[in-house]
Amino acid sequence: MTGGHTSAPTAPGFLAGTRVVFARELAATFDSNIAYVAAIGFLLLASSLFMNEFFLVGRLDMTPFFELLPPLFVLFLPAISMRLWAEDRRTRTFELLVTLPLRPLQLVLGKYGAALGLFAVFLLGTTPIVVMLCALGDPDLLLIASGYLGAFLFGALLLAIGALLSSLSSDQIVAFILTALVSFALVVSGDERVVAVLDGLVPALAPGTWIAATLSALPHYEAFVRGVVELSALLYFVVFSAAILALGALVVQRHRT
Amino acid sequence: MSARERIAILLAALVLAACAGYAARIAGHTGIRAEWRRTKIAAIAPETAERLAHLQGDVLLSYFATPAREMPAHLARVEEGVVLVLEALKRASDGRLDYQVVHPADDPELEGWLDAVGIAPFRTRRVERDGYVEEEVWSTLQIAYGARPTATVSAIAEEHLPRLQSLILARLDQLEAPRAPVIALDVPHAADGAGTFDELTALLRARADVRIVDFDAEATLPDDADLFFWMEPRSATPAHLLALREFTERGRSVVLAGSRLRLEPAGVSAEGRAAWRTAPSGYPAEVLLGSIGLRPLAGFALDGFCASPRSEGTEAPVLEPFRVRCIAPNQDFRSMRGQPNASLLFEVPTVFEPDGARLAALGRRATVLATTSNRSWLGAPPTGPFTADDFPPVAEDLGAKRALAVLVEGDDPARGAFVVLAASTPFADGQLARSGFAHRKLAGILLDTLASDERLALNRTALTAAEPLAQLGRGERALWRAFACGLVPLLLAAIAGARSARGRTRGAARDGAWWHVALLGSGAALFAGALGAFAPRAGFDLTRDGRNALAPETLDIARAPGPPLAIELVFSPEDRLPPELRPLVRRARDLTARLARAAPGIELRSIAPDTADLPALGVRPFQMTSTFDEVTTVRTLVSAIRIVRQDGRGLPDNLPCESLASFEDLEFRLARALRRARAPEPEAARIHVAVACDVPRLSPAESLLEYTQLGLFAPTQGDVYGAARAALARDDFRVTFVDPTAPVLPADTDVIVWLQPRRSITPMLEVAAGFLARGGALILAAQHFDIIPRQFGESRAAFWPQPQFADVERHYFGPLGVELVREVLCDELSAPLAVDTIATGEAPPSPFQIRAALSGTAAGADPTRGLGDLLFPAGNRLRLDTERLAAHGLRARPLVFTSGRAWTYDWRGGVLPAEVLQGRGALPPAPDDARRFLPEPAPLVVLVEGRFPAFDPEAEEPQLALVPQVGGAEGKLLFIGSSQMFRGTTLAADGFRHDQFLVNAVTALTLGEEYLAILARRPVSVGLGYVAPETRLAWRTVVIGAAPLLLLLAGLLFRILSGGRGSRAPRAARVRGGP
Repeated sequence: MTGGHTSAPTAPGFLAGTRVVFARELAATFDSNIAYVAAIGFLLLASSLFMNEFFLVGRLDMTPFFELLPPLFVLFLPAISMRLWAEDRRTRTFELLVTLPLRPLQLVLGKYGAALGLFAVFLLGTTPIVVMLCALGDPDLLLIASGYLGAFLFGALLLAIGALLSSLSSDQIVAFILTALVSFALVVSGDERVVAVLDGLVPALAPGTWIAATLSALPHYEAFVRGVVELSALLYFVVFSAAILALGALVVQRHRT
Repeated sequence: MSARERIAILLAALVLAACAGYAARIAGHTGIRAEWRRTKIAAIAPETAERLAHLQGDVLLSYFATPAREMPAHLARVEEGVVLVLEALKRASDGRLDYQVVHPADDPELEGWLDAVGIAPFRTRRVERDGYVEEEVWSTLQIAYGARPTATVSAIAEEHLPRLQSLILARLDQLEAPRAPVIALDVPHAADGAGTFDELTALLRARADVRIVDFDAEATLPDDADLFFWMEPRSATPAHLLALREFTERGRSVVLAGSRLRLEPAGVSAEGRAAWRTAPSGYPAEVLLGSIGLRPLAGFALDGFCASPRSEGTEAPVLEPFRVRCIAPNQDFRSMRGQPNASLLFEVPTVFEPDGARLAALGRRATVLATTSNRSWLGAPPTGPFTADDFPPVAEDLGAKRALAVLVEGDDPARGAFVVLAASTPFADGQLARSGFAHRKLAGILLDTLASDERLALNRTALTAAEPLAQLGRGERALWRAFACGLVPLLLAAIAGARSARGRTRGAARDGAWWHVALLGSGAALFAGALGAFAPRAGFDLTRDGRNALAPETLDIARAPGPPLAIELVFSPEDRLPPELRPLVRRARDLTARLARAAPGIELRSIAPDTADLPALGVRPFQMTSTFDEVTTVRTLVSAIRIVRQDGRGLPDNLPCESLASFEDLEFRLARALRRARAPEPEAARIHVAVACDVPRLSPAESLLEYTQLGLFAPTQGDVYGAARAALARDDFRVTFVDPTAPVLPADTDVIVWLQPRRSITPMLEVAAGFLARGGALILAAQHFDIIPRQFGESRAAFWPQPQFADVERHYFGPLGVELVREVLCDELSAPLAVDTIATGEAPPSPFQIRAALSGTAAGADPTRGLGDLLFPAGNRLRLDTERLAAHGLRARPLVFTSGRAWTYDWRGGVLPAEVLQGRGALPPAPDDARRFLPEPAPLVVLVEGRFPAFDPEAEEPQLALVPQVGGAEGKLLFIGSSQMFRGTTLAADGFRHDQFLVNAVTALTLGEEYLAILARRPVSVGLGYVAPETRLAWRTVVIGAAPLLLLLAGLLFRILSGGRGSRAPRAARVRGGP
């Protein structure tokens, strides 16, 4: 290099760049109080609600716990995702972030990975329930694993949606409410009672059945809870989440340009 | 802000919160409060004050209560609320009314006095250290008004407080000047306009203010009516159902009497007999009874044993089985205020059965008041004129008793009741006052019960629940839905749009990114959804037993060599199915599709019921009632699966799927049907189950008290084991009822199910033992007692073991070495469940309701394979005498046990001592303790196999009655220490599936391991064994606290390691540290 010519910073490889954003974002997440408040709140609520009936019902079964999760996800996961981009936009660091020599997808995946990391802590924190079941009897561990896999994929989808909506808004509250609304829609649209009402509006078209079969996340999640890992459910969660993340990258790209 | 400051602020907040709490408690004592609701608890309305000012004497209200600190949480604030009401009344009465609060538990002598005057505590349940504890509490108000008899308001709970004030006033009114009830009456008229229920109208007018209404046409009832007699209903539109619901919600009751058929004279037959014909009456039984929680049975009931005799001239009386005479032993009016004590006549009755699931959903319970005899059967309406000779005196397809009258009450006593009769005959002109029948008395009992003083007072109190919605049209509902859901969001969206158009939006991304993203996001969702919906259903089944995939045994059966088969699905379109049926039909489609994919010789076809010739297919439409948001809908559906041989030989096998439960064991049913279609007869024919069951009866002691001394007839419940037989029939077993008093066993019987033997058991025992000796299978369910609450006089309830006289310990089984131990058995591993008892339907205390936690490890042909927990209400343990068994060459294997915390009580008579109801506790029993603690788990179910002896009923000694058989096949005996688990609502209630146990047992004993393996793959969860309270508490602490604590520690560690830098570093700085 000569003549005062300044070279442009070298862009790291895709995975390396993503890893750096992930590590930074994860450290920032656990450095803030919100991670602890959200995680502790979620764990206290989920465990307490499950334990409230556990000994009274007296069944060596985690299905009631997995049935509890969707409404809790609607409440807590938007709280994680709302700050992913909105916080950067609020503190005006967003512009700085997008000028880094990283591709938008790396930024999106890095931040999303950090949110998933926190979400994994949520789920890991509920493992004392599994320990208790094992200590008290002989539960179906594969069934429980299937439930956890479903919960992880379901949460991952909601976080992807939350990340996208967070990238669209500079206001965390707006991002939270919109994410909660969309998540709620994905959950309740699979409820048989809601399906029945929607079908009843236009019986010939049965819109409720169509929405439940096509859009809703709940039937796919319930398959996991029953112990069925279906290709269709896997495709739904993975493709849906990936598409939403790609859209998020598109939004970041638009901001950059 | 420093950490110290933060802690100080937190502490200050805690102190302030405590101060605020105490301030609120102190303020509560001032009585300053405002009630912003229509029905006020403590505020006195001017008309109430006016009423109190005109009291004709002094009133003393005595509230007998358990102190609040000893009450369960849900009753802890009742005393405070009652005192508020009483204090307000006292203040407004100008000294005419006073009250006192008495705590009877503080004074044992007072308790005795209260027992004597008919004021008793009631049992309730509280949760203590993650377990249920039962106890007696007091919460009863006694109203003393001058020299008049006292009145009481019992079992006051928090939900009763809003109407307590008006209830007290109504009771005072009723004491002062008893008023006659107001009865709405809708009766049909004959074609010539003449009345057909004039005698009933006159009878009611003598005791009540009668308002003649045309409810069929107008669907409205007078506001002040207390009771509604609806004879031969012909309309059941949503408006009618809504009006009935509103009426009963307001505490009013309804008497419904009708039959689908009307019996009309048709001259005289060629033989000179009186001829009859039936005509449809227009009675909408399915809709009307379905909305109440009853399921009408097809056709009409005929009863050869209790037909009404009719004299024709000088000839002997003719028995006409379509005129069913309900004799006194088939009546149980103990839940009503009186007993008819004579026959009731029902012509061509539309009999029904309680629909347990629907009743539970509606919050109601049903008590059977009158039944046919157990020699009744169901017939189809004859097409032309008929005489008594056209029906055999006793048909071959006999069933058990069928309900002719039922009382349907709400769980909340403030709600009204329905009394449903299977025909209006008892009240028709010419029948009401007919000699030898108790029709007039029946009408009187209905009036006494449904229009009692208490009920009339309750009807005059204000309605505290929200008023039911008026009937709205479809358009109106859509409009209101759009208004409630869409108006405000739409307005806000419009405002936001306008602001955006003016470029004032700050939060959203620029350049319309929102819209683009929303569009693309929706596209992504649709794409992913379509992938999920249409992608192949291939996947993994992670359950331990692979229950979501087809069983290997099913695949083997499907792939077995044989003629090609077709599975035909005949289901109504999904949008016509009730919501609860849709996922089951989807699963059925999925299951059959997988079966067809896996087996090359099976073709899957779907038949559209709308275009198919259903009678030719042997499929019949059926009606299904479902309730959604308290709206009852009756749909006519088609739901069946057919197995057809494609070579045209053999008859198609139809598997009806007409209930939610019928889908449960669908794989098993399909496997059986495939084997039947391919295998030559008779190996694969439907298994024939002979069910011998009796009805609950009175003990001699009760008979002496109630039959001899009080002149009442022995009560008899309806068909308590009907649901058990239906559960077997649902899984395609052929079920035949066998009368245990005169047993005739069908020749091709595969297994006998004998539910609750009763003295004299020898006729049935001879048949059953002979069957066992020939290598047959017997499932025997018996128990020595029903634990029932009894109220002696007006005193408090006590629990009495009602002997069932099973006698199985004396005859055959005891001498054989399998003894059903005659003692009261209790276990700390129990489950609270309102099981039906013969007396009142109240739940017995839970220690008698033994919960057997199955390990979930049963394999092979073990009948408990794949079952969840079992409940043994008032069950008994089985004692095995291995020497005796060995002497007879029998092998016994206990399958189900109590927990290790069981105890027994050697009952010899009287009610159970209080200590028997208590838990086992941590300490050893006192020397004088009546309980005997069992050292180890005791068997509750035993499987005995080997060559059984026959039974000689004439033998003088029990041991001599066992007649050894030479050679012969090995028999199987499954002995279950409870029969109540197979009764009515206990069969499949609150997480216990005894119907599955019964089906499993029959399958295990007849079809063996192959089919049991298919059947046992139900999604059931294994129950917990006994867990000590301290262990429960420890686990609760660990589960709830461990993860948050670890997380806190990790956070703290993270902060310490990062030197507290992170939290205070600006985010921008952290980001700048990036690559």
